Amino acid sequence: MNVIIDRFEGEYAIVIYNNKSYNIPKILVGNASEGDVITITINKEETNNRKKIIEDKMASLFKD
Amino acid sequence: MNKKNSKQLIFLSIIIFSIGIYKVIPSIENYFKPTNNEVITDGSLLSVHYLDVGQGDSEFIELPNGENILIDAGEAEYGDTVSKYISSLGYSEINYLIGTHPHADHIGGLSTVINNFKIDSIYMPKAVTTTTIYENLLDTIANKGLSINTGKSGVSLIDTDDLSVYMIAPNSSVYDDLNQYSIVLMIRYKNNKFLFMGDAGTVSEGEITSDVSANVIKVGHHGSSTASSASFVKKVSPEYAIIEVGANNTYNLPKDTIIKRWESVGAKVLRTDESGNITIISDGNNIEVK
Repeated sequence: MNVIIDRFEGEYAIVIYNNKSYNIPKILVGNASEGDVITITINKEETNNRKKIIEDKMASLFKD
Repeated sequence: MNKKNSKQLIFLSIIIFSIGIYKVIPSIENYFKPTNNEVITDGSLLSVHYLDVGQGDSEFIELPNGENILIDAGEAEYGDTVSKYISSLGYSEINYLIGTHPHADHIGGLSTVINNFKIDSIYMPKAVTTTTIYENLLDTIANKGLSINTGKSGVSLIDTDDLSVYMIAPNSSVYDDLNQYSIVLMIRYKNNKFLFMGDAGTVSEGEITSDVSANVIKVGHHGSSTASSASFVKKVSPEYAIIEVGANNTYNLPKDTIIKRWESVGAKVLRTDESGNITIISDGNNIEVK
């Protein structure tokens, strides 16, 4: 999914999605500029990696 | 000086004076010759409507010559609000449509407005952005078979004795920040002046060379501290400073320091988040908030 940075106001980047404006914290788009296209993707591989790391930690802590 | 010389001097003066008049006459004739822009201001009113479009800008101006101007139309979702407001005043045609700069909170609603009205002319700065909002606007203009006049300092829309409408910014052709591309418009009706800043910031303010003193200003960039430098505020010294801003907006606009800065030069600050739509009328010598 692509959103496009319309402008910056203070600590926010305002992005356009489906012709509507949404605020996202500026810190999430690094050093992006007005007009930059930001691609938001679901990363299943990393999701599964994270799940495994957390499950391992849980396994060593839960008693049952 | 003897009497004869004195008579000769008077005679010579008359000849020189006559030549002077003769040289001036053609330009006087030219001046009164009606042109496309020539208007008759028969004591009618200038009405400026600062529209409440939440966190965004839109101004509709009824000129004393019967023409009108729309500056911006808020976010896309406000296109209908702005259209209905203009219709309710009895207009089906917009003479001058100005998109100050291609940010969504200014040009978003313009596509809807362009589809709803007969549009005579469009002015925008030559600033590129990649958003779908701007693309939709360009597509809408193309579909209507219209074209865009580049808005920049020095462009004059109306230039008559009683009424003049002209742009005093942008003065550069390239900026880092889209806000600085904002078309800054001055409307002078006899002795009253109205200034419209769009989102022009301190960079653009500093480049403006023409007289910015005005009775009323639409403050730049929703009262953000990126605009309204102390020296600029002093130069404008208006009676009213209008801030168009959304109630409880995320960006904490307008900034208190900016409100105080305008008040410090004697301006009364009016805000669309507190007052809703604001209308100011002028007969050319007096202004009144409706």
